[in-house]
Amino acid sequence: MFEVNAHGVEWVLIGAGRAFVRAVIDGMEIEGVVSALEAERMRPVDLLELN
Amino acid sequence: MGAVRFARMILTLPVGAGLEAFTGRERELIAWLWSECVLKSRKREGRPFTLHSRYLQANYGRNYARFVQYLLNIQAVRLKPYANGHFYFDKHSRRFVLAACPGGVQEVEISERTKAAQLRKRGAQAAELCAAIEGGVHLLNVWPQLSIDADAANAYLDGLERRLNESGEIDLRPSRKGAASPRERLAFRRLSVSWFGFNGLSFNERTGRVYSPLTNLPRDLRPFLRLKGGGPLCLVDIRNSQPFVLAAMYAAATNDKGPLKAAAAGSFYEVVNARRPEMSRDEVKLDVLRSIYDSRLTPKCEGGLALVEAFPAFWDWVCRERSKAGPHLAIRMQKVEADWVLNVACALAKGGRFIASIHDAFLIDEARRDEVERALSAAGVARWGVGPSFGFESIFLGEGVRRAAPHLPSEGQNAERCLK
Repeated sequence: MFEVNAHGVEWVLIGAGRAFVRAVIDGMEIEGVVSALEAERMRPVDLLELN
Repeated sequence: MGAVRFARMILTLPVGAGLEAFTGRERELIAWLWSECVLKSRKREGRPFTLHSRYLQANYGRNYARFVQYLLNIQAVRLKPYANGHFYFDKHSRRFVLAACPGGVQEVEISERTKAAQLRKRGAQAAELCAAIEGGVHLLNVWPQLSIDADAANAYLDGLERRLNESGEIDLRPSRKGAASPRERLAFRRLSVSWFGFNGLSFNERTGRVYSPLTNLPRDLRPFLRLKGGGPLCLVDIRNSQPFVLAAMYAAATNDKGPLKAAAAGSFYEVVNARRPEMSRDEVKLDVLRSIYDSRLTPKCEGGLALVEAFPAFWDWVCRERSKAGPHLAIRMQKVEADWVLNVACALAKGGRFIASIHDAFLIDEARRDEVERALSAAGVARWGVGPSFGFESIFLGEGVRRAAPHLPSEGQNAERCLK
């Protein structure tokens, strides 16, 4: 099941302890891959920085 | 025929002693529970996963304990004790791991009735949605009308994978700065498709947003969505939605309507872009959002600096608001946006007419486009004295999909109509 963290960032484990993180901001799909631990705390601004 | 064929949901059911004691509907629920266990285990990469008795009761009814016991008896799953040796935590949670399933499995077709009932009550958070949004129950009720053609979507993904293996190229727009590799993005798409039928709506109290398999679904997989009844789907989105909401909050606080006018006309990013013509609109948009979501008083990116130049008083207000105690301005903005959009969605879903939201966009039957735009405008005018402008996207198979899966329909045609 996909998770949504407290900041509204969606994430899912994709293997080897890595998580695919994703957010839709103003119609823009922003995505990245981080560790599972980071995914739980990730804010949209962190995701924007990744991109 | 197409709609019926692709709407079918076939799950596997572990076979073993005692199966004959269950009715047809109970077997469907066991197959559903088993599939959920498999997916949970896959998500946890084979490590133990937890099932909570309240969750099980909410989703599988009062007989859930019999279903779990059956899976344990036939060794489809095993209990895994906690570190202290106990099998229960909190009297309600137990940890499971998948086992060998020695009796094998058989396929079970899930009836429309079971599928609709399960999707309505998916997740303990469904109740939160109903409690938080007036009319949230209408959104929950229409959700099961949407499904994904998993066969066609997987054929498309197979095509992408083949191409990736052969040439190292992939027909997906690259993620910016390579934040996710092609293989990771492909893996995510596989998960999005396989999870689609298993999840319903959930509500995030902090952002006020509704999340669903549709909000998880990458844009290039949208053509594989199917609406019960087979109408062509389209996406109506609010242009400049976040600047619009933020500028509306600003206008309400200061009576300066400059930024709001630009956002309502759908040209907020263009006005900022005019300050940095060497940048693309997408780069400016990303920088503007990054600056608003960040906490810096002076943006560190060019697009953010252009925002400050274009709307200096607006930027000052943004900085002041961000320094206030409580949730970050971006979260408050998301909440205002969600409240506006979801109230419209709930009203439009009354009477069982399909509508689903992707935060600032609506997936609807194409015939309802005008109705949705009118309702969103009216709600905007009622709140802020001005309505937004809209973007429109017909859901069909685009160039990338056709290259990867040439047997699928051609551009301009709705996938549902062509796959029949």
